[in-house]
Amino acid sequence: MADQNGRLAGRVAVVTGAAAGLGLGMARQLVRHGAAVTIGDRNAAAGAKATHDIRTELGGQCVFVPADVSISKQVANLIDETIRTFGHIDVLINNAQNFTPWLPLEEKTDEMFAESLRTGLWGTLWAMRAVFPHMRAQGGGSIINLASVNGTLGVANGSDYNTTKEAIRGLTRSAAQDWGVHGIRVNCIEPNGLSGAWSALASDPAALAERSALLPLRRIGDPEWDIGPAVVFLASDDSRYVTGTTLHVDGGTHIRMSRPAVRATRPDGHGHYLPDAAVVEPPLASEST
Amino acid sequence: MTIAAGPPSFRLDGQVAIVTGATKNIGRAIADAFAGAGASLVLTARTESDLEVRCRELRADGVRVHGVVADVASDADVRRTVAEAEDAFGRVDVLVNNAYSAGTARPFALDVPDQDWDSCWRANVLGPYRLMQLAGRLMIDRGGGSIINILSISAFRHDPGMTAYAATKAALWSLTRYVATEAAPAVRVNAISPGPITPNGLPRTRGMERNLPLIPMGRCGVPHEIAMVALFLASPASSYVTGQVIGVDGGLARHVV
Repeated sequence: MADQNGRLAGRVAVVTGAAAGLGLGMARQLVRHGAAVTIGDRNAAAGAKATHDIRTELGGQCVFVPADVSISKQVANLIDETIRTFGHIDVLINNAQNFTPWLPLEEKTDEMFAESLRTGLWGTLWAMRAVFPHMRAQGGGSIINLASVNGTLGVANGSDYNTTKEAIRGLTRSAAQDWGVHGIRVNCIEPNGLSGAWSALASDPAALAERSALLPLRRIGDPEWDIGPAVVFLASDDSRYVTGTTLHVDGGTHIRMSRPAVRATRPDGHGHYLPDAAVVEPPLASEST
Repeated sequence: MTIAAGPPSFRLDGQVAIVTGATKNIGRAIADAFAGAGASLVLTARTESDLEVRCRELRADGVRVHGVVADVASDADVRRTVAEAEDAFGRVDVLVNNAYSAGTARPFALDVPDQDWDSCWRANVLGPYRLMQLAGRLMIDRGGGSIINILSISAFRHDPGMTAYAATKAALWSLTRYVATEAAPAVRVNAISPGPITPNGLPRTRGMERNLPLIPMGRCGVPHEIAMVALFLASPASSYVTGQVIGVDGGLARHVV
């Protein structure tokens, strides 16, 4: 249930691409901690259902505004509608991102790069611009952008996506610098949640188990209960001196250089160790957050 | 409609936390935050009188607390800390490696004497490592736990005079990643890299004052702001975060790690 005295009580948050997947998990967790949330999504049916579920299951404040983040007017409207409905805006989460086919760099077309950049980088920039005057006027706010370990690592066959995600990190650090004086904090998360490109795994237990075993924490994150609370942290005053940073909510993916080799129980029965030197392999193709 | 309580994500009810260097500044604020979240505490400090006062205050607030007079640079003291924690509460769920040695400020990075290296290495690497080792095993036995190592922005950006301190804090960062990978999935291990932190957020030294324009948020931080990040990392709210360093520095380092 929504906690009306929670750490986000009285706060208003906008989450793009929140009709399903990671965005929905974040939106639900924000509501649980007391925030009023606007769900922005281009899928009207899914957005309306997600909003209805949040209201009835969690008893929280939630509205849906149809918005395609690749169209700047719709992004501006998403923010305007939020102000009209709730009166102010404290938290912006730029989660929406379109995917293009997994292909090596030489086969990626201009259109694919444009699609990735327009929905990711430009959509994020437009939303940030739209909330800026409101956050500045009220003396602060928290913006959370979605980056990806794929970008950091340069994972195979995702050059347009990787480039977009690292551009978003550059934008994030720049905004943290320029808007810190206004009390506006801007951070990234790099999540690894069971949605988006991972969603096919949800219905394939064997593949899910295989992928999970590669992560230090041995599982793919749950959007609402693993990724959501980290976003609550960045949205709340708990992180009020944190800006310009990247929070990896990925079960340890970002520190993994190799696939774990054979893991064994210690002779004394405690914990685990790596009996053999780990074999260094390139990152998995088509990994995505 | 009845409003049920919110999710327990940021609570530490029923958990036992060791915090080293817990009578002053950041360590003190972390102990307060953990107590507020429902944890029982094992606090260490080198000065017995400070520790006694601290424990008395917390007990007066109804907090279960055990004090251990200990120097994190002493292996015997560190071992005794974990042993007493186990005796007092029977478990350890959270460890915060906060106590450190800053060494002596040296004007030139090529002039650091061996005694500085020795004291920084013992307090900033060996002591925290031993605590991770002993407490980590208890955590693995019980099936879970969270370790938080307090680093410094000096480990990531040049900080004049702090060569040995910075290098040993960087060593603790590397240890964070190694233990995070190999003590997983039972134990999560993360780090906090504080920027300039002062009791009131105002610069305390000329160096801090000089650097103020470099901080996007335009001010120093206060201990409470580190403590709330530590609470996030200690609690189930960070259930899927491990091996991470969180810069809590008003954007000064803008960590690209």
